[in-house]
Amino acid sequence: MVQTQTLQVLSGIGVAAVYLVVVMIFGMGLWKLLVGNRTGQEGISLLKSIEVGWLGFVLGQGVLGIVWLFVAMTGTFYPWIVWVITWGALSSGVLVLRNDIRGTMLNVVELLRGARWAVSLGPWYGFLSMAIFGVVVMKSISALAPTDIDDALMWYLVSPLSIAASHVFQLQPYLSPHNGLYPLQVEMHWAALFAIGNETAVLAWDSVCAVSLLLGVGGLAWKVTGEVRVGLIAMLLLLSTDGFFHVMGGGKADIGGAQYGVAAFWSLLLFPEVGRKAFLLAGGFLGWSIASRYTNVILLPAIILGLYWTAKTTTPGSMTGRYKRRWRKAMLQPLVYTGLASIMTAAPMFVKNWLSVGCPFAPLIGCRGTFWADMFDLMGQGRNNLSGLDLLLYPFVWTFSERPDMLGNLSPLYVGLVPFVFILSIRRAIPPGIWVVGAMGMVALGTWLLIEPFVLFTRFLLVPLGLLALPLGMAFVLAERSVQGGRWGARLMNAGIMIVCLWLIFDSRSVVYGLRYAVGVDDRESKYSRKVGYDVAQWLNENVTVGKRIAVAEWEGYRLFLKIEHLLNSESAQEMQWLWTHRPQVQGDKELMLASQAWTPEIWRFYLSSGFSYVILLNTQVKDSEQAWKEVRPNQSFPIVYVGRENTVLKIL
Amino acid sequence: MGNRHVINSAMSRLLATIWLDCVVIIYIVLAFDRKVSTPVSQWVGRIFH
Repeated sequence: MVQTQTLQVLSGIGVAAVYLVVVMIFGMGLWKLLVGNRTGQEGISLLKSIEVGWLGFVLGQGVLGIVWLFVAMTGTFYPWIVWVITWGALSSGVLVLRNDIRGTMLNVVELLRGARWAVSLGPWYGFLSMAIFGVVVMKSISALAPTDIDDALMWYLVSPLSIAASHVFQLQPYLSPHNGLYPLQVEMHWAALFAIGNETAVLAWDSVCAVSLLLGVGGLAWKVTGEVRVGLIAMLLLLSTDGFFHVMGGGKADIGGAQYGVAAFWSLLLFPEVGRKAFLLAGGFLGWSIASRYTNVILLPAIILGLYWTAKTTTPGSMTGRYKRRWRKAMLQPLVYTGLASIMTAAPMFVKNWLSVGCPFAPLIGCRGTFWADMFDLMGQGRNNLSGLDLLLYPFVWTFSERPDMLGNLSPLYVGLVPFVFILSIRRAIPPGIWVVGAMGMVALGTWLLIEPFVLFTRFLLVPLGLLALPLGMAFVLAERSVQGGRWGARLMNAGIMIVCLWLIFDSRSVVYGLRYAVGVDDRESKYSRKVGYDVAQWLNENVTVGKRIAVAEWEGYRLFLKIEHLLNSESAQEMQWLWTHRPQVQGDKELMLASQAWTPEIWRFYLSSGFSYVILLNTQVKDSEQAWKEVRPNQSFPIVYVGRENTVLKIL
Repeated sequence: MGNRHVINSAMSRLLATIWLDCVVIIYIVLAFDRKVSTPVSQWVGRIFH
């Protein structure tokens, strides 16, 4: 007899697999309409197959993300509507590609044959490709177990789940400081997968996006250098970056958003083949990357550098010389195309915020004085995690050290491969295009350093890291090829790479927990029982009927633990605003909770008159709040019904 | 002159290779220390921290 949990895992994998096929076919169909009849040609190279398949896949994600947002804004995000749109997307893709089915199938076969072909690169690169493949498979299996990433439990998974459960997008007051106001381009797919699947489907999809990002970086490296070996090294650079490795399949939006960034740079390279459409595509992908994470705005200067490079390859002379007019046109047109396309694809996310709270750039700009904007500002105050000395030793701190909230180091291969770039004979052999891609990576990284020099979160910088992997990978391959010391010289060079691969295989041991969860040996209880707030959430889930209101503003626990129906029925936006306005002001409070120091009788009166049956308190507040309670209900004892590790539950009605 | 260039180039490649291997080994030792705290890794970790 197969356990219910195993069936849930299998159905989640099934839904994610179906969704993958749908997005791929829909996206390739769109690609054919926008770019031309290039998807189903027979006999095209493996690289071209990857290019069309991957860019089509990311394009499909971009367009479907906007569709889901529109559906959610109209309040019709019901599972049956999600299914209808999903099958509609699949059907339209098949319809567009109907004449290319044979060619598309051949491309798929070509892609699959790529695995065998990778082995034929020789034993060393065969091992490398097998190691990357093995690690990716193990990490994907690990993602079948519930995520252990705190932010995912607190915000990133809860936001799409509440859209799926409530069938509508609106301000999410119980998720401060996220509140659903962060860009949701990636999370809208998760909302769709929650609607037609479950949490496993979402995490499996996140793994798919991680593999997709790796393929994008590897494919871009291959495209620019013409060397598949550089592609493999570039993939390893990103995969061995702990900030990517740790987050993949964990339910954070960064990896999904980074796909759009890499696709934007890849699109620029298509200029010689598709002309101006390359700028439209680059702009569209750039807009979606910003609609996934505001921090991806650092890609903007890098894209402008890319446009300059494109103009330089097609325009003679210099910008200030006698070809000034031609230069102006060569720069202006791509800038306008890219700018307009990026505005079009990013705009829906800002319109969402404008319609929800009246401030398009919320919670960053505007609407100050609201509870969610103030909480966002409070959160931002404690974000710096680097010192001045750290800034001087940036790459070394990033590689070797650990700073608060950094969420993973940089791969040692980045710092390790830098000297190869400076060896004269290698430097001269690196083609200009690779330097430009590397420069774009440096510009994006430099922009981040200008904006937030003392904040280092690896996951925000995945796209620059992907771009920087190209010159480093190329330098390694060139050095390896020209090594003079015979076998031992090559072995010494490969030893570093080999050790990183073995480390990654060792570090993928959490695959055991993924398998244990899938077959029902472990459950959520065993995974989360020690997490903050799990005990209280479990008690409420088991003892409180849906419909009774629970006040969660004071609850420290991860929101995903509580039944979504309870969460949706907790404090409304207006109630949160009242609590925020009437809270005793506490200086330096970064806990983002309301009334977290002093309780007043007024707060109890508010909860009693608003129809709340249960209130969650911090254990440290029980004494204060009991005194306030006695002023409101002098003849009634303090109604504690459950005492957890960090929180206490009161039944007030 | 040509021989010197070849020697310099080979030497710089060797140094770069040693750098790469050292960076990777130090990274692994520190990461191991952080993730799997064993008596040996604790001892190694104390030296590097």
